[in-house]
Amino acid sequence: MTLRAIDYQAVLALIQSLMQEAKVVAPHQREGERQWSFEEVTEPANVCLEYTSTVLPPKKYAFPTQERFLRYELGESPKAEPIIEAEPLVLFGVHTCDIYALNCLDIAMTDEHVDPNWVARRKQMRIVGVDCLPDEYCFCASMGTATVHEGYDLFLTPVDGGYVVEVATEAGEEMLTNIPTKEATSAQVAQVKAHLNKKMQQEHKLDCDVSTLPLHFSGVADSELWEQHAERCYSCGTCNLVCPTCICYDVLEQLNLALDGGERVRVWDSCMLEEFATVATGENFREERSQRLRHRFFRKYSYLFTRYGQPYCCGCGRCVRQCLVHIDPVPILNDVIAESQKGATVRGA
Amino acid sequence: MKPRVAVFSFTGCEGCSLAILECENELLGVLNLVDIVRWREAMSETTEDIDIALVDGSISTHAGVKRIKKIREMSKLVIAIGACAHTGGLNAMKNKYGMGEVKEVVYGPDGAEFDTIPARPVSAVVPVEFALPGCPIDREEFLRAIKELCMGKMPKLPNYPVCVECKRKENVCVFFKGQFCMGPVIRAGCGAICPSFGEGCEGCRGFIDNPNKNAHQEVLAEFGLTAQEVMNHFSMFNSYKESEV
Repeated sequence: MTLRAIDYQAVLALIQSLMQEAKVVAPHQREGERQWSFEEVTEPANVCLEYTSTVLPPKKYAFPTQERFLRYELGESPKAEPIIEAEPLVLFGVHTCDIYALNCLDIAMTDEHVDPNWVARRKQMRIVGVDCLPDEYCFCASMGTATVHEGYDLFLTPVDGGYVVEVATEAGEEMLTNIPTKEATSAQVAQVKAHLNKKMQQEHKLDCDVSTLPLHFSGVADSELWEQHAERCYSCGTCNLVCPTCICYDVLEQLNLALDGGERVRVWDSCMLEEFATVATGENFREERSQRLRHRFFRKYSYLFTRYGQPYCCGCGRCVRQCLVHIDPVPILNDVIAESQKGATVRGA
Repeated sequence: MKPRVAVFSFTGCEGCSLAILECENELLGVLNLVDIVRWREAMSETTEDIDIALVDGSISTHAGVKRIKKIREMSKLVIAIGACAHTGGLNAMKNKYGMGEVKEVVYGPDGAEFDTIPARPVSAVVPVEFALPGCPIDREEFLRAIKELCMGKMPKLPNYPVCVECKRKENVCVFFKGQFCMGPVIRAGCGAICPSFGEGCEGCRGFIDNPNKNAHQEVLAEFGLTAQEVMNHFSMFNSYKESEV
């Protein structure tokens, strides 16, 4: 691991030089209080590296909110061809939680079925991470995602006068060619450690070690806690749609007006929406809000966790930050933990 | 044989019929799929041999009741288009007043001459096969519905709220910009057009099947609306209630 130091002017120069060779996307301030989103950089000075969270995660660049993936012609001799649109891209200013989530999805998107569109985009993606300090919704310290060890080329940690840069890959090394950097001083390295210590101080936290989380789900499927927490839920899907680790999509046919061909499109879907689990014959396996809320939690903290050995939640807090009725995963998970402890006592008695 | 389509207008601004005419780039394509056989806004010919009747406007006069029944008899499918035809729309706001009072307020002493009854959605008067919501209708949704009808499929509306489309567009939630929105309980399909242009959703597409109205009342109150203002937001496009008519 190489640690360099870079000042603010050099960061702007770095963005500018990356813009010469690829599309660069980075956080930008939006209208409204504490709202940001990843957008294409047109002016490096407009990039906002001190931000807490974007509305949508950078996942949208590997898995767009809406994407054409098949073009077809009908009629006498039907034809179909896949559409894979990918371009070189630099994600600049990505937080550890979002890098963790992209790494998670690399596993899920190439597991049994390899998603070629995801893979093509990820291959052409370079990532410059930046460290942050949590707001009241973040719980990355509990999820073990306050630091990441792979999935980026450069990683910036703010220190006095600029950033300490960790150069993680050869691609990262190349990015810094022609950019003035210095060797990080021991004082600066100490500041990096201090920054992480500060980041880890989070009030919003789980009542258990994250590695034990799936164990707590074994006895809570029939608990009343799901109904209690779902009572005020809109079933609007916002929590899933802003989630960096959600991958469900719906498939739509878009026929042309002549009805002789068209495109197949996928759009982000949400297991919290009423019709998500409705099947062709009309039955809905998760008709109640509480069943859908329960499913969402089981999937993130039990099913996928067990299958892949890591939580499919990165602790970014977007779900509660964007939820108008403040449905927060942390108190729900703590209720799950408390309930499973209660159950253990009963079973032990 | 192409389906024979007619367009009829009742109480409303007739803007939903106009929205069809505004599919300028697609109109020729539409005409390849269907024959338009009757439409007062676009042609002078007329007929009573109709496969699909597209109806905009609410039913708010005795004459309107007779006319929509006649249209129902001569059409194989009746499709309500737009908020007035779909939910009664803005017109139904008058229903909570007496008709005498309404006529007096709008027309003064000459109001007594007018034939007006409480405004109803088309489906409250005759059976309707499908309703295309919105004020006005969404062009993309209209074109999709026409394609689906021509393929022998009944179109399907999203049964999820506007929030879904806002998130897919990465709109900043209008509540976080200090405005109010009915989006969390209103049916999507408009591409979240109002929030995308910086305005809260007014609910013109009607409620989703199972809206959490209690939660929404609490949220509107939490963001500073009085009980009366909350009611106003709920009732602008969605005040029609069968029981009041």
